[in-house]
Amino acid sequence: MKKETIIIEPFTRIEGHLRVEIGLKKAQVSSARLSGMMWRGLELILKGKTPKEATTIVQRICGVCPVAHAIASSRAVESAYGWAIPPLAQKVRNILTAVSTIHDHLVHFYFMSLPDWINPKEIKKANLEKALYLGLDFYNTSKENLSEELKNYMHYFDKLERTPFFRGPHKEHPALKASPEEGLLLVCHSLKALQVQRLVNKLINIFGGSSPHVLSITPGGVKIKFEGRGVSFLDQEMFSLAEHLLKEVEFYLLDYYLKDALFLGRIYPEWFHIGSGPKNYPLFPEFPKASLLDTEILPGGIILEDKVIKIITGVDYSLQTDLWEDISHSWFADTNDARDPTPCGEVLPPSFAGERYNYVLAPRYSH
Amino acid sequence: MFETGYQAESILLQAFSGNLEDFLLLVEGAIPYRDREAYLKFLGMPLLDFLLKISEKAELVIAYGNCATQGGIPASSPNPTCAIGLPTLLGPKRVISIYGCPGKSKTLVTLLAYYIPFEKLPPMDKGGRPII
Repeated sequence: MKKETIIIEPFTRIEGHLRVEIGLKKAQVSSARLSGMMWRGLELILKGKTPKEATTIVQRICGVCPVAHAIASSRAVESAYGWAIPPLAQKVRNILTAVSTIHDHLVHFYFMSLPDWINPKEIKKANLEKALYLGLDFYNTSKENLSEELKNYMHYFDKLERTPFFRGPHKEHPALKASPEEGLLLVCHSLKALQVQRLVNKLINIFGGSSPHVLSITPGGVKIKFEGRGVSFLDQEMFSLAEHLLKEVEFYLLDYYLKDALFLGRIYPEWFHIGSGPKNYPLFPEFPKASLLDTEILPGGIILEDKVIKIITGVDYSLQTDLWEDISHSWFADTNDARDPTPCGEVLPPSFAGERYNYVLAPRYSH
Repeated sequence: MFETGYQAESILLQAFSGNLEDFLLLVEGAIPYRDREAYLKFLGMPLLDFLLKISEKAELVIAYGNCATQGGIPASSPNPTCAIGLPTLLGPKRVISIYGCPGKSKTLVTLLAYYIPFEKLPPMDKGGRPII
């Protein structure tokens, strides 16, 4: 039997180092291995430091999602000490979480995944009339606006031709179905998204003090002055600036981002059914009003094999034992238990014995 | 780099074998020094060897951000992977260091805007930092 493997490495449009190994048997995928190829030992670095430092250190895990790490580490310290944070601090954290989610989605859609769905080299061949007709049919815009927008960006393309986005060695492939006109519309909007993600970053700056690694989140609350004068404080002026920015971002999200996602979905409907995994997801509750024990929280839950088997609202201590991480295929020292012992305070050193291929741990749910 | 997988690999290998002319090497992140191969493999070889070889061919080598210049957070005690910055590996004269966490983007853009038209480096201080 003919056996082949496809290896995809390096991944350039993600944070970190990933390697994908796909085994083929008779042109069918028979195995797939995702390997995280990097270990920094942040657990070992955190040991022995003061708890306050955790938010600073842990945020350096990732430059795309530092806010999530900051909030998680602050919550860990707070729950260890039994602290409750002030309701106003919780609101600032909620704003930061929401805004960084917006940033994440924008960047992911337009810059990390969109380049795989269109062929930028073809865009120059696009027929402006046809693109205009297509755009008016789908987007919420007037003819004058759209034709001016397209002309403006077409003017840019001449200059942008040497940038990686346009000179990339994209291959002709029958699965790459998007026409030059469709590609043109999407690329125009992705250039616009570049400007909008700056506004979102500005919002993170206002509430977080800096971006991407925020300074304001700290165990026990947030480091922000709401009145008086100082180096960093939030006053009426800042709030109205934030409101203004948020309105602009909202306009873009509803009129462009959402429509673009639908537009792309209409071009590639068959991909809703290709390549789905085991359909297991843990989702965690977020956006509490005052404390983590709120009932008016956006609920989370556990989905196993496409079925919702548990709804989580607020703090759920049963997850401490039910949700765990499997290390049996990861490059860590062998133990009798497949569970990662880090949450219990023991950090395993890396080791390379046995049939292992990965530094990343696999989340598991048992009940 | 927008290319992924074999397309990115082919560009890197071109640079690696000296077939790619005029390229700048911009390094982000600390380099694990202990156990060579263990903590970061890249294209089937230790990152350390890859960097040592590819930096010979590069026109400019820029270390961007605190991790690439000094080791940063991964190098803080007890430094489990023995992480080092690029100037430690290649010598401070070969590397242009841009500090900050995240790296100062204005310095990088100004450096490139100076280097590309004038084809020479701006004045540097003793630590290999551009004075701009």
